[in-house]
Amino acid sequence: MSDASLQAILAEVRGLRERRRTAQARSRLQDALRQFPNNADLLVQSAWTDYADDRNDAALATVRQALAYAPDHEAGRQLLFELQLDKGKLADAEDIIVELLRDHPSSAAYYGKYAGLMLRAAQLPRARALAEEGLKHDADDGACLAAQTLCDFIEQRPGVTSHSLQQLLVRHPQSQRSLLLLLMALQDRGDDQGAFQIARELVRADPGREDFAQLAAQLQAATHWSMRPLWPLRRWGWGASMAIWLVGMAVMRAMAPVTPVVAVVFGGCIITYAIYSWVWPPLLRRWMART
Amino acid sequence: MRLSRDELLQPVLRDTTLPYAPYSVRTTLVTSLAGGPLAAIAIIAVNSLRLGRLMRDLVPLALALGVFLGLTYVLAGTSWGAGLRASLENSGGAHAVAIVYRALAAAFWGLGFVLHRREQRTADFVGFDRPNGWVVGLACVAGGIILQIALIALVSGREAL
Repeated sequence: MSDASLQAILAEVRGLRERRRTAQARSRLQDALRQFPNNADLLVQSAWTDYADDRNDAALATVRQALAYAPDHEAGRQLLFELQLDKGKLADAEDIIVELLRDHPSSAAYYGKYAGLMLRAAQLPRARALAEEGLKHDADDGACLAAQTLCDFIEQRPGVTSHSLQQLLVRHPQSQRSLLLLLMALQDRGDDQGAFQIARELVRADPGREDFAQLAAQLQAATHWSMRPLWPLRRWGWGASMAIWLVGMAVMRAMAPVTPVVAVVFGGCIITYAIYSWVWPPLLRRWMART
Repeated sequence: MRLSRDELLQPVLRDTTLPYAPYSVRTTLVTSLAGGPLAAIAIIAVNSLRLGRLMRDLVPLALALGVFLGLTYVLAGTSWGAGLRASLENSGGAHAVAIVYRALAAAFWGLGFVLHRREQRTADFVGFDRPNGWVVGLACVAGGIILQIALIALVSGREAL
């Protein structure tokens, strides 16, 4: 097999994987690996294919094998970074991404990945600084804008529009990441109906994603008619919980000497509402996830 | 945070103790309302410890404890406080003092909410797995109630019921 045909196979495998035809990609790779068992490019593609199928242990073994042959293989190191991140080995993942950044100092995508890692490690200021540095190299980079958007969500008051999210939606309107962040912004401001519409779009676009389906089920539960009494809690969050508790207690105490029976009934209603708000939503979510 | 490019490319996580996800806002709220001011301080302190910021939170936590101890001393240990108690009970009923303590617990919960707001939102948006709050929550509630009763008994010099 010539180098040109090897490159053609690699391009074909990448294409198949992008279209989620991983079984076909794996079959092509097995044929090629029989002829070139030590080829790092083929091994890395095989590892990425395993990773796409959530076979992370197999992917890790294969990518380590590939990196033993070609320690500087960029796609191999990228995959190793993703695998360490998935395993929660954040310090190991950091070592890899820092090395990648030292080799590719103007890669905004790597800055974005590093910023995402720092968010996982709850190192918010560093995450923002990395995203800003990445955006200096490519103002449109999706990973950097997404990391900056998450920093905005965390640091700003709920409901405040994130400038980074606006930029992300303008520059990457079709990306799943943009839609997911928009969904989170809507959820944060209590607009479950809007968030549910986006979740449905995400499921339609990628029906194989289990997490999208679960998210849609959760939001369907949140928009169910039986959740309407809980709207103040969804809209104003913990402030509403505290206000209901304080006002409820004050009203109950004020009524107690005048009409004790009404005060007891009122207190019972407040307690029932509190129990309903704690017990019913998770039950409904489970039921929706099953159906 | 102003860091140079070289500083940004220095790995930091090996030398950093990563924070654990805090107990949820709901856990702290229920614990505070059920267990009173001491339970509220305890659950905030547990979250501070999990988030690796106990030293930073020590001053507000000590202030909260001081407010609670001061109120308890005034209400249970002084003649002026006894008058205040009687006045509260006359106007707000037999449970008026208990309501004052619950309101104080609610205020302490608010303090914890403000102190850990950023960490709680990080946990929500990044999707950290929250710890189960039942054991620690119940321990804080039980410990808070027992300590409060013991403290009132100690200050007033009689058994609190």
